Amino acid sequence: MTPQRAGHRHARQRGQTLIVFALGFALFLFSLTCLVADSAYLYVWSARVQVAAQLAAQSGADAVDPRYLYGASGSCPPGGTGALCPVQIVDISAQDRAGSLYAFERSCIQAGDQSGQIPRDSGNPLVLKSADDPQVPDGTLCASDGCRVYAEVSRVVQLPIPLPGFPGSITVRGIGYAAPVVGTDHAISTCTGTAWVPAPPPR
Amino acid sequence: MTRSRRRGDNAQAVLETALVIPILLFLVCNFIAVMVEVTVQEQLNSATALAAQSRFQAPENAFDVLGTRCCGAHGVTLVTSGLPTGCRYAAETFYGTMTTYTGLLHWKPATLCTSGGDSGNAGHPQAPPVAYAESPSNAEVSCDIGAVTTGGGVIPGYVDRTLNPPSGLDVVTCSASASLDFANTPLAWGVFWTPTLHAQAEAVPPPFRQ
Repeated sequence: MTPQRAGHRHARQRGQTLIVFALGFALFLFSLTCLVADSAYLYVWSARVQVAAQLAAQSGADAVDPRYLYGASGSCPPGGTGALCPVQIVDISAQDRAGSLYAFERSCIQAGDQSGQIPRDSGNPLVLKSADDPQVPDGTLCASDGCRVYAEVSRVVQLPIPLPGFPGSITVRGIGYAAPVVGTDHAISTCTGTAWVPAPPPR
Repeated sequence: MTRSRRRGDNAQAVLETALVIPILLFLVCNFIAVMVEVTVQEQLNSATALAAQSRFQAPENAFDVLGTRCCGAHGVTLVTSGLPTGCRYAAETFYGTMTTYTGLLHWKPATLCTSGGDSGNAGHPQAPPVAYAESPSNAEVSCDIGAVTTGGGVIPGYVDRTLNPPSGLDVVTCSASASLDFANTPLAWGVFWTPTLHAQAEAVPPPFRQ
């Protein structure tokens, strides 16, 4: 190879490297932008569902009638027998017992779905789920362990800039616990020993 | 390469750097400011929502006794004597949740505890809430809550007519407003805006209270 031809080849190789570097760097910058935008979006949503779970658990705990926890008696529902009946955890009114949910579950799920902005249909994020909607694949799951209300809010988050080759949506999850507060000046234990109602099936 | 050419190149590099660095710093400052704004807004939303819900931790007929004080910002404590205990619980929850970047916030003073108020509909006019006589007016959060007096009198909360229409439900609402000021931070160098943040939350009373 003559020195002149070798110089030409060297210059061509330098041009090729420049193009490859420019494309590679652009791809790297684009990936970095995607990663930052998606991470920030996920970070905000994970904080939101965590708060939603705390709010849901608190709302559920507030919906437990303290008289039930004290084992108190109250007036019987229509059709009941006897003058006094044990206060039930749920059956305050027909409205509260509508569907298959207990009152604390209904309050818990409503608060979780509203606060976590769980859409009924992923195509229309403005219409939120109600307590009677199925809480899968995202939604609020509420249960009791006899002491506290447990709430788990999950939400499928569509990533703003999906990375090619990676899933376009990620499920974020928040968990909260809250106990009903009863007592006069100081809160006292409200553990009943057994779960108030059977736990829902795991998701 | 001659000495004058090399000196020219150096001068050009210095000039480019001098032009690019302020632009980069400006961008970085504004990125951080947006991040802080989003964080504070999320925190404000959480604080008002949890505050409204925490009203239900207190019995409806519980009122704070003389000399009761609670929470506050910037070393100020709020006197809550004579106010529903639920109002103090809401305030404590609010201040307990607002923990980060509070030094950057200029709060809009609000009446801590109000009652009444009506969202209104075709059959009912809208009505603004009324402050409790004993309520401090320099709080950072305002909550509209009802109560039951020792004599059995009912002090109404906020009636939301969109719930259980048309009669509505007596709910608890909490709101807070603040502006985010970067003036006393290094970010002031590149951030020239002062966003106003607002949050409002509503909590529906539990079934056994309805």
